[in-house]
Amino acid sequence: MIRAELSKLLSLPATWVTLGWTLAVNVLLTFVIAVGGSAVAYSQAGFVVLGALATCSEYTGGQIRTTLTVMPRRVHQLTAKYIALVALTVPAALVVALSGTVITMAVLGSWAVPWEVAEVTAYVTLVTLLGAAVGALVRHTLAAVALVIGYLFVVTPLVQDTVFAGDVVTLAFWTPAFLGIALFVHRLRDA
Amino acid sequence: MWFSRGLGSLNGVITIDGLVKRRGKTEILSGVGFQALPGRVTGFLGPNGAGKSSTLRILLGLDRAQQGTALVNGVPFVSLADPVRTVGAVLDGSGAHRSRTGRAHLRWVARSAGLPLSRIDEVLELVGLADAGSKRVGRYSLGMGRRLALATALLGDPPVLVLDEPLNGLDPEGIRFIRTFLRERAESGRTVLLSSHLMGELAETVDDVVVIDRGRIVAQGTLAEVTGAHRSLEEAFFALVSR
Repeated sequence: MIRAELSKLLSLPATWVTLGWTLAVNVLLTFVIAVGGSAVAYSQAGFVVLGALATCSEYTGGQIRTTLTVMPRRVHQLTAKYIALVALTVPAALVVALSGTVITMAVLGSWAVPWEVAEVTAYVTLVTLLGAAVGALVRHTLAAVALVIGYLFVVTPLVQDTVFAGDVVTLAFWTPAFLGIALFVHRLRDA
Repeated sequence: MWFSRGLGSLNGVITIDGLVKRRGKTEILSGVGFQALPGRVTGFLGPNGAGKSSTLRILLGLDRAQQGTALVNGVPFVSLADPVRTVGAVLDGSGAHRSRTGRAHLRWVARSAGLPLSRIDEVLELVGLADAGSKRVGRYSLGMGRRLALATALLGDPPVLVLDEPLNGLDPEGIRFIRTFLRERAESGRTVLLSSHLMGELAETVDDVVVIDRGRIVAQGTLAEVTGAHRSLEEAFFALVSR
Protein backbone atom coordinates (compact mmCIF):
# COMPACT_ATOMS: atom_id res chain seq x y z
CA MET A 1 0.00 0.00 0.00
CA ILE A 2 2.89 2.36 0.75
CA ARG A 3 4.26 1.65 -2.72
CA ALA A 4 0.87 2.41 -4.24
CA GLU A 5 0.61 5.70 -2.35
CA LEU A 6 4.19 6.65 -3.26
CA SER A 7 3.43 5.78 -6.88
CA LYS A 8 0.42 8.13 -6.75
CA LEU A 9 2.46 11.00 -5.30
CA LEU A 10 5.33 10.60 -7.75
CA SER A 11 3.12 10.34 -10.85
CA LEU A 12 1.26 13.54 -10.05
CA PRO A 13 2.77 16.44 -12.02
CA ALA A 14 1.58 18.90 -9.35
CA THR A 15 3.90 17.23 -6.83
CA TRP A 16 6.97 18.08 -8.89
CA VAL A 17 5.78 21.55 -9.81
CA THR A 18 5.20 22.35 -6.13
CA LEU A 19 8.53 20.92 -5.00
CA GLY A 20 10.42 22.64 -7.82
CA TRP A 21 8.95 26.05 -7.06
CA THR A 22 9.41 25.61 -3.33
CA LEU A 23 13.10 24.75 -3.65
CA ALA A 24 13.72 27.51 -6.17
CA VAL A 25 12.00 30.15 -4.07
CA ASN A 26 13.76 28.91 -0.98
CA VAL A 27 17.21 29.29 -2.55
CA LEU A 28 16.32 32.71 -3.91
CA LEU A 29 14.98 33.92 -0.57
CA THR A 30 18.03 32.61 1.26
CA PHE A 31 20.25 34.76 -0.95
CA VAL A 32 18.01 37.78 -0.45
CA ILE A 33 17.69 37.41 3.30
CA ALA A 34 21.06 35.72 3.73
CA VAL A 35 19.99 34.16 7.00
CA GLY A 36 19.59 30.40 6.72
CA GLY A 37 16.60 29.68 8.92
CA SER A 38 14.31 32.48 7.92
CA ALA A 39 13.79 31.61 4.25
CA VAL A 40 11.95 28.54 5.52
CA ALA A 41 9.48 30.90 7.18
CA TYR A 42 8.21 31.61 3.67
CA SER A 43 9.02 28.47 1.72
CA GLN A 44 7.10 26.35 4.24
CA ALA A 45 4.01 27.50 2.34
CA GLY A 46 5.11 25.25 -0.54
CA PHE A 47 5.22 22.28 1.80
CA VAL A 48 1.72 23.02 3.06
CA VAL A 49 0.58 22.86 -0.58
CA LEU A 50 2.46 19.58 -1.07
CA GLY A 51 0.75 18.03 1.96
CA ALA A 52 -2.71 19.26 1.00
CA LEU A 53 -2.24 18.01 -2.58
CA ALA A 54 -1.33 14.55 -1.34
CA THR A 55 -4.71 14.04 0.32
CA CYS A 56 -6.98 16.35 -1.70
CA SER A 57 -5.89 15.02 -5.11
CA GLU A 58 -7.88 11.89 -4.21
CA TYR A 59 -11.02 13.92 -4.75
CA THR A 60 -10.25 14.84 -8.37
CA GLY A 61 -11.89 12.71 -11.06
CA GLY A 62 -13.46 10.43 -8.48
CA GLN A 63 -10.12 8.78 -7.75
CA ILE A 64 -11.18 8.28 -4.11
CA ARG A 65 -13.67 5.64 -5.26
CA THR A 66 -10.87 3.71 -6.95
CA THR A 67 -8.62 4.12 -3.92
CA LEU A 68 -11.22 2.83 -1.48
CA THR A 69 -12.35 -0.08 -3.64
CA VAL A 70 -8.77 -1.32 -4.11
CA MET A 71 -7.61 -0.46 -0.57
CA PRO A 72 -10.81 -0.69 1.50
CA ARG A 73 -9.05 -0.70 4.88
CA ARG A 74 -9.16 3.04 5.21
CA VAL A 75 -6.94 3.54 8.25
CA HIS A 76 -4.22 1.43 6.60
CA GLN A 77 -4.64 3.29 3.33
CA LEU A 78 -4.39 6.80 4.79
CA THR A 79 -1.51 5.77 7.06
CA ALA A 80 0.29 4.43 3.98
CA LYS A 81 -0.25 7.81 2.36
CA TYR A 82 1.21 9.62 5.39
CA ILE A 83 4.29 7.37 5.27
CA ALA A 84 4.73 7.87 1.51
CA LEU A 85 4.45 11.62 2.03
CA VAL A 86 7.12 11.60 4.74
CA ALA A 87 9.39 9.54 2.46
CA LEU A 88 9.05 12.23 -0.20
CA THR A 89 9.17 15.23 2.15
CA VAL A 90 12.18 14.43 4.32
CA PRO A 91 14.70 14.49 1.44
CA ALA A 92 13.15 17.71 0.08
CA ALA A 93 13.13 19.27 3.56
CA LEU A 94 16.77 18.28 4.01
CA VAL A 95 17.63 20.01 0.76
CA VAL A 96 15.83 23.13 1.94
CA ALA A 97 17.51 23.04 5.34
CA LEU A 98 20.96 22.35 3.90
CA SER A 99 20.70 24.89 1.08
CA GLY A 100 19.84 27.52 3.67
CA THR A 101 22.76 26.55 5.85
CA VAL A 102 25.30 26.22 3.06
CA ILE A 103 24.33 29.51 1.46
CA THR A 104 24.38 31.30 4.80
CA MET A 105 27.82 29.90 5.56
CA ALA A 106 29.08 30.90 2.14
CA VAL A 107 27.65 34.40 2.29
CA LEU A 108 28.20 35.25 5.94
CA GLY A 109 31.02 32.89 6.77
CA SER A 110 29.15 31.77 9.89
CA TRP A 111 28.70 28.19 11.04
CA ALA A 112 25.33 26.58 11.41
CA VAL A 113 25.06 23.63 13.71
CA PRO A 114 23.76 20.28 12.40
CA TRP A 115 21.05 20.60 15.03
CA GLU A 116 19.56 23.50 13.11
CA VAL A 117 19.40 21.41 9.95
CA ALA A 118 17.59 18.66 11.86
CA GLU A 119 15.18 21.13 13.41
CA VAL A 120 14.30 22.76 10.09
CA THR A 121 13.82 19.33 8.48
CA ALA A 122 11.55 18.18 11.30
CA TYR A 123 9.59 21.43 11.23
CA VAL A 124 9.04 21.33 7.46
CA THR A 125 7.97 17.66 7.61
CA LEU A 126 5.47 18.43 10.38
CA VAL A 127 4.05 21.35 8.41
CA THR A 128 3.64 19.09 5.34
CA LEU A 129 1.82 16.46 7.37
CA LEU A 130 -0.41 19.12 8.93
CA GLY A 131 -1.34 20.18 5.39
CA ALA A 132 -2.14 16.54 4.56
CA ALA A 133 -4.28 16.01 7.67
CA VAL A 134 -6.30 19.20 7.16
CA GLY A 135 -6.57 18.28 3.45
CA ALA A 136 -8.00 14.88 4.34
CA LEU A 137 -10.55 16.58 6.59
CA VAL A 138 -11.76 19.35 4.27
CA ARG A 139 -11.14 17.47 0.96
CA HIS A 140 -10.43 20.69 -0.93
CA THR A 141 -6.87 21.79 -1.75
CA LEU A 142 -7.42 25.56 -1.69
CA ALA A 143 -9.44 25.48 1.53
CA ALA A 144 -6.87 23.27 3.26
CA VAL A 145 -3.96 25.45 2.13
CA ALA A 146 -5.78 28.62 3.23
CA LEU A 147 -6.53 27.17 6.66
CA VAL A 148 -3.00 25.94 7.39
CA ILE A 149 -1.23 28.97 5.92
CA GLY A 150 -3.66 31.23 7.76
CA TYR A 151 -2.71 29.46 10.94
CA LEU A 152 1.05 29.54 10.31
CA PHE A 153 1.30 33.09 8.97
CA VAL A 154 -1.52 34.95 10.73
CA VAL A 155 -2.49 33.14 13.91
CA THR A 156 0.86 31.94 15.22
CA PRO A 157 2.50 35.40 15.42
CA LEU A 158 -0.43 36.48 17.62
CA VAL A 159 -0.29 33.54 19.97
CA GLN A 160 3.41 33.15 20.72
CA ASP A 161 4.18 31.54 24.09
CA THR A 162 0.86 29.65 24.05
CA VAL A 163 0.17 26.05 23.08
CA PHE A 164 -0.89 27.31 19.64
CA ALA A 165 2.51 28.76 18.74
CA GLY A 166 3.63 27.23 15.46
CA ASP A 167 7.10 26.13 16.49
CA VAL A 168 8.50 22.65 16.13
CA VAL A 169 7.49 21.70 19.69
CA THR A 170 3.81 22.68 19.47
CA LEU A 171 3.58 21.24 15.95
CA ALA A 172 4.98 17.97 17.28
CA PHE A 173 1.80 17.85 19.33
CA TRP A 174 -0.80 19.32 16.96
CA THR A 175 0.27 17.54 13.78
CA PRO A 176 -0.14 13.99 15.18
CA ALA A 177 -3.42 15.09 16.76
CA PHE A 178 -4.76 16.23 13.38
CA LEU A 179 -3.36 13.16 11.62
CA GLY A 180 -5.30 11.03 14.11
CA ILE A 181 -8.53 13.00 13.74
CA ALA A 182 -8.23 12.74 9.95
CA LEU A 183 -7.80 8.94 10.18
CA PHE A 184 -10.85 8.69 12.43
CA VAL A 185 -13.06 10.83 10.19
CA HIS A 186 -11.78 9.13 7.01
CA ARG A 187 -12.72 5.75 8.48
CA LEU A 188 -16.24 6.73 9.45
CA ARG A 189 -17.59 8.95 6.73
CA ASP A 190 -19.22 8.07 3.43
CA ALA A 191 -16.68 8.52 0.66
CA MET B 1 -8.73 -20.73 -10.87
CA TRP B 2 -10.86 -18.60 -8.63
CA PHE B 3 -13.19 -21.42 -7.58
CA SER B 4 -10.34 -23.46 -6.16
CA ARG B 5 -9.73 -20.92 -3.41
CA GLY B 6 -11.88 -22.49 -0.78
CA LEU B 7 -14.95 -20.65 0.70
CA GLY B 8 -17.14 -23.31 -0.95
CA SER B 9 -20.54 -22.38 -2.23
CA LEU B 10 -20.30 -18.68 -1.41
CA ASN B 11 -17.53 -18.10 -3.90
CA GLY B 12 -18.48 -15.35 -6.30
CA VAL B 13 -21.87 -14.82 -4.69
CA ILE B 14 -23.07 -11.32 -3.82
CA THR B 15 -25.64 -11.34 -1.02
CA ILE B 16 -27.40 -8.14 -0.06
CA ASP B 17 -29.91 -8.27 2.77
CA GLY B 18 -32.15 -5.74 4.48
CA LEU B 19 -30.18 -2.59 3.62
CA VAL B 20 -31.52 0.59 5.15
CA LYS B 21 -29.82 3.89 4.37
CA ARG B 22 -30.93 7.29 5.60
CA ARG B 23 -29.46 10.63 4.69
CA GLY B 24 -30.78 13.25 7.03
CA LYS B 25 -34.49 12.50 7.31
CA THR B 26 -34.93 10.88 3.90
CA GLU B 27 -34.78 7.13 3.68
CA ILE B 28 -32.91 6.24 0.50
CA LEU B 29 -33.00 2.47 0.93
CA SER B 30 -35.78 0.67 2.80
CA GLY B 31 -34.72 -2.94 3.24
CA VAL B 32 -33.02 -3.70 -0.07
CA GLY B 33 -32.04 -7.35 -0.54
CA PHE B 34 -31.12 -9.64 -3.45
CA GLN B 35 -28.43 -12.03 -4.68
CA ALA B 36 -26.17 -12.05 -7.71
CA LEU B 37 -24.81 -15.45 -8.71
CA PRO B 38 -21.73 -16.74 -10.54
CA GLY B 39 -22.16 -17.52 -14.22
CA ARG B 40 -24.96 -14.97 -14.56
CA VAL B 41 -25.33 -11.33 -15.50
CA THR B 42 -27.62 -9.69 -12.95
CA GLY B 43 -29.24 -6.44 -14.04
CA PHE B 44 -30.06 -4.06 -11.20
CA LEU B 45 -32.65 -1.82 -12.76
CA GLY B 46 -34.54 1.22 -11.65
CA PRO B 47 -35.27 4.84 -12.49
CA ASN B 48 -32.77 7.57 -11.56
CA GLY B 49 -32.70 8.19 -7.83
CA ALA B 50 -34.24 4.80 -6.98
CA GLY B 51 -31.22 3.77 -4.89
CA LYS B 52 -29.12 1.75 -7.35
CA SER B 53 -25.87 3.66 -6.82
CA SER B 54 -26.41 3.87 -3.05
CA THR B 55 -26.81 0.09 -2.88
CA LEU B 56 -23.68 -0.54 -4.95
CA ARG B 57 -21.68 2.01 -2.93
CA ILE B 58 -22.63 0.22 0.28
CA LEU B 59 -21.74 -3.14 -1.31
CA LEU B 60 -18.30 -1.74 -2.19
CA GLY B 61 -17.68 -0.30 1.27
CA LEU B 62 -17.81 3.33 0.09
CA ASP B 63 -20.91 4.22 2.11
CA ARG B 64 -22.33 2.75 5.30
CA ALA B 65 -25.83 1.43 5.78
CA GLN B 66 -27.72 2.02 9.00
CA GLN B 67 -29.04 -1.54 8.85
CA GLY B 68 -28.51 -4.69 6.81
CA THR B 69 -25.60 -6.48 5.23
CA ALA B 70 -23.92 -6.55 1.84
CA LEU B 71 -21.53 -9.47 1.40
CA VAL B 72 -19.19 -10.78 -1.28
CA ASN B 73 -18.10 -14.40 -0.83
CA GLY B 74 -19.90 -14.27 2.51
CA VAL B 75 -17.88 -11.37 3.96
CA PRO B 76 -18.26 -7.57 3.91
CA PHE B 77 -16.19 -5.91 1.17
CA VAL B 78 -13.87 -4.19 3.66
CA SER B 79 -12.93 -7.59 5.12
CA LEU B 80 -11.90 -9.16 1.80
CA ALA B 81 -8.35 -10.47 2.02
CA ASP B 82 -7.50 -9.46 -1.54
CA PRO B 83 -10.09 -7.00 -2.89
CA VAL B 84 -8.44 -6.31 -6.26
CA ARG B 85 -8.32 -10.03 -7.14
CA THR B 86 -11.85 -10.60 -5.83
CA VAL B 87 -14.06 -7.73 -7.03
CA GLY B 88 -13.66 -5.31 -9.91
CA ALA B 89 -15.72 -2.14 -9.54
CA VAL B 90 -16.71 0.31 -12.26
CA LEU B 91 -18.40 3.39 -10.85
CA ASP B 92 -19.26 6.62 -12.65
CA GLY B 93 -16.52 8.53 -14.46
CA SER B 94 -12.98 7.27 -14.93
CA GLY B 95 -12.07 7.00 -11.24
CA ALA B 96 -8.70 8.48 -12.15
CA HIS B 97 -6.99 11.82 -11.48
CA ARG B 98 -7.04 13.84 -14.68
CA SER B 99 -3.40 14.88 -14.65
CA ARG B 100 -2.09 11.31 -14.44
CA THR B 101 -1.68 9.17 -17.54
CA GLY B 102 -3.91 6.13 -17.90
CA ARG B 103 -0.88 3.89 -17.46
CA ALA B 104 0.26 5.72 -14.30
CA HIS B 105 -3.23 5.28 -12.86
CA LEU B 106 -3.18 1.54 -13.54
CA ARG B 107 0.35 1.34 -12.13
CA TRP B 108 -0.58 2.52 -8.65
CA VAL B 109 -3.60 0.23 -8.58
CA ALA B 110 -1.40 -2.72 -9.63
CA ARG B 111 1.09 -1.81 -6.90
CA SER B 112 -1.64 -1.65 -4.26
CA ALA B 113 -2.32 -5.35 -4.85
CA GLY B 114 1.20 -6.47 -5.75
CA LEU B 115 0.11 -7.33 -9.30
CA PRO B 116 2.75 -7.68 -12.02
CA LEU B 117 3.03 -4.44 -14.02
CA SER B 118 2.73 -6.51 -17.21
CA ARG B 119 -1.02 -6.67 -16.45
CA ILE B 120 -1.27 -2.95 -17.31
CA ASP B 121 -0.66 -3.40 -21.03
CA GLU B 122 -2.85 -6.50 -21.04
CA VAL B 123 -5.90 -4.68 -19.66
CA LEU B 124 -5.28 -1.58 -21.80
CA GLU B 125 -5.28 -3.88 -24.84
CA LEU B 126 -8.40 -5.68 -23.60
CA VAL B 127 -10.50 -2.50 -23.35
CA GLY B 128 -9.12 -0.95 -26.54
CA LEU B 129 -6.97 1.75 -24.94
CA ALA B 130 -3.59 0.36 -26.02
CA ASP B 131 -2.71 3.59 -27.87
CA ALA B 132 -3.98 5.95 -25.16
CA GLY B 133 -2.07 4.61 -22.15
CA SER B 134 0.46 7.44 -22.19
CA LYS B 135 -2.16 10.17 -22.55
CA ARG B 136 -3.32 12.13 -19.55
CA VAL B 137 -6.77 11.11 -18.32
CA GLY B 138 -7.89 14.75 -18.60
CA ARG B 139 -7.57 14.42 -22.38
CA TYR B 140 -9.68 11.26 -22.59
CA SER B 141 -13.19 11.35 -24.03
CA LEU B 142 -16.05 10.26 -21.78
CA GLY B 143 -16.05 6.81 -23.37
CA MET B 144 -12.28 6.42 -22.96
CA GLY B 145 -12.60 7.32 -19.28
CA ARG B 146 -15.21 4.58 -18.91
CA ARG B 147 -12.89 2.11 -20.64
CA LEU B 148 -10.09 3.07 -18.26
CA ALA B 149 -12.41 2.41 -15.31
CA LEU B 150 -13.15 -1.03 -16.77
CA ALA B 151 -9.43 -1.68 -17.32
CA THR B 152 -8.83 -0.80 -13.65
CA ALA B 153 -11.54 -3.23 -12.55
CA LEU B 154 -10.00 -6.02 -14.66
CA LEU B 155 -6.40 -5.62 -13.42
CA GLY B 156 -6.76 -8.38 -10.83
CA ASP B 157 -8.88 -10.60 -13.16
CA PRO B 158 -11.54 -10.82 -10.43
CA PRO B 159 -14.33 -13.42 -10.32
CA VAL B 160 -16.85 -10.67 -9.49
CA LEU B 161 -17.57 -7.51 -11.46
CA VAL B 162 -19.79 -4.71 -10.13
CA LEU B 163 -20.67 -1.97 -12.61
CA ASP B 164 -22.74 1.15 -12.00
CA GLU B 165 -24.38 2.34 -15.22
CA PRO B 166 -21.64 0.86 -17.44
CA LEU B 167 -23.33 1.97 -20.66
CA ASN B 168 -23.45 5.68 -19.74
CA GLY B 169 -21.32 7.82 -22.00
CA LEU B 170 -20.56 5.04 -24.48
CA ASP B 171 -21.08 5.21 -28.23
CA PRO B 172 -22.96 2.33 -29.94
CA GLU B 173 -19.70 0.49 -30.54
CA GLY B 174 -18.77 0.85 -26.88
CA ILE B 175 -22.19 -0.41 -25.78
CA ARG B 176 -21.83 -3.45 -28.03
CA PHE B 177 -18.34 -4.08 -26.68
CA ILE B 178 -19.51 -3.96 -23.04
CA ARG B 179 -22.48 -6.25 -23.71
CA THR B 180 -20.37 -8.88 -25.44
CA PHE B 181 -17.66 -8.58 -22.87
CA LEU B 182 -19.99 -8.98 -19.88
CA ARG B 183 -21.70 -11.99 -21.48
CA GLU B 184 -18.29 -13.63 -21.93
CA ARG B 185 -17.38 -12.95 -18.30
CA ALA B 186 -20.58 -14.61 -17.08
CA GLU B 187 -20.21 -17.54 -19.46
CA SER B 188 -16.75 -18.22 -18.05
CA GLY B 189 -18.37 -18.65 -14.62
CA ARG B 190 -17.89 -15.18 -13.18
CA THR B 191 -20.43 -12.99 -11.42
CA VAL B 192 -21.54 -9.78 -13.13
CA LEU B 193 -23.77 -7.26 -11.34
CA LEU B 194 -24.62 -4.11 -13.23
CA SER B 195 -27.03 -1.29 -12.62
CA SER B 196 -28.85 0.61 -15.33
CA HIS B 197 -31.84 2.76 -16.05
CA LEU B 198 -31.80 1.72 -19.71
CA MET B 199 -34.13 -1.28 -20.04
CA GLY B 200 -34.05 -1.68 -23.80
CA GLU B 201 -30.26 -1.77 -23.91
CA LEU B 202 -30.06 -4.56 -21.38
CA ALA B 203 -32.77 -7.06 -22.21
CA GLU B 204 -30.37 -9.08 -24.39
CA THR B 205 -27.52 -8.99 -21.90
CA VAL B 206 -28.95 -9.97 -18.51
CA ASP B 207 -29.94 -13.37 -17.13
CA ASP B 208 -31.45 -12.18 -13.87
CA VAL B 209 -33.25 -8.94 -13.12
CA VAL B 210 -33.71 -7.02 -9.88
CA VAL B 211 -35.97 -3.96 -10.09
CA ILE B 212 -35.68 -1.20 -7.50
CA ASP B 213 -38.01 1.76 -7.10
CA ARG B 214 -37.92 4.39 -4.36
CA GLY B 215 -35.53 2.38 -2.23
CA ARG B 216 -37.50 -0.89 -2.38
CA ILE B 217 -37.10 -4.01 -4.48
CA VAL B 218 -40.30 -4.35 -6.50
CA ALA B 219 -39.42 -7.42 -8.57
CA GLN B 220 -36.67 -9.98 -8.93
CA GLY B 221 -36.13 -13.18 -10.83
CA THR B 222 -34.93 -14.43 -14.19
CA LEU B 223 -35.46 -12.20 -17.19
CA ALA B 224 -38.44 -14.36 -18.25
CA GLU B 225 -39.99 -14.26 -14.78
CA VAL B 226 -39.75 -10.51 -14.44
CA THR B 227 -40.91 -9.82 -17.98
CA GLY B 228 -43.87 -12.15 -17.34
CA ALA B 229 -46.88 -11.49 -19.54
CA HIS B 230 -45.53 -8.15 -20.73
CA ARG B 231 -44.26 -7.75 -24.25
CA SER B 232 -40.81 -6.65 -23.16
CA LEU B 233 -38.69 -6.00 -20.10
CA GLU B 234 -39.22 -2.30 -20.71
CA GLU B 235 -43.00 -2.64 -20.51
CA ALA B 236 -42.77 -4.81 -17.43
CA PHE B 237 -40.54 -2.17 -15.88
CA PHE B 238 -42.97 0.68 -16.46
CA ALA B 239 -45.80 -1.43 -15.07
CA LEU B 240 -43.72 -2.07 -11.93
CA VAL B 241 -42.34 1.35 -11.08
CA SER B 242 -44.45 4.20 -9.88
CA ARG B 243 -44.19 7.63 -11.44
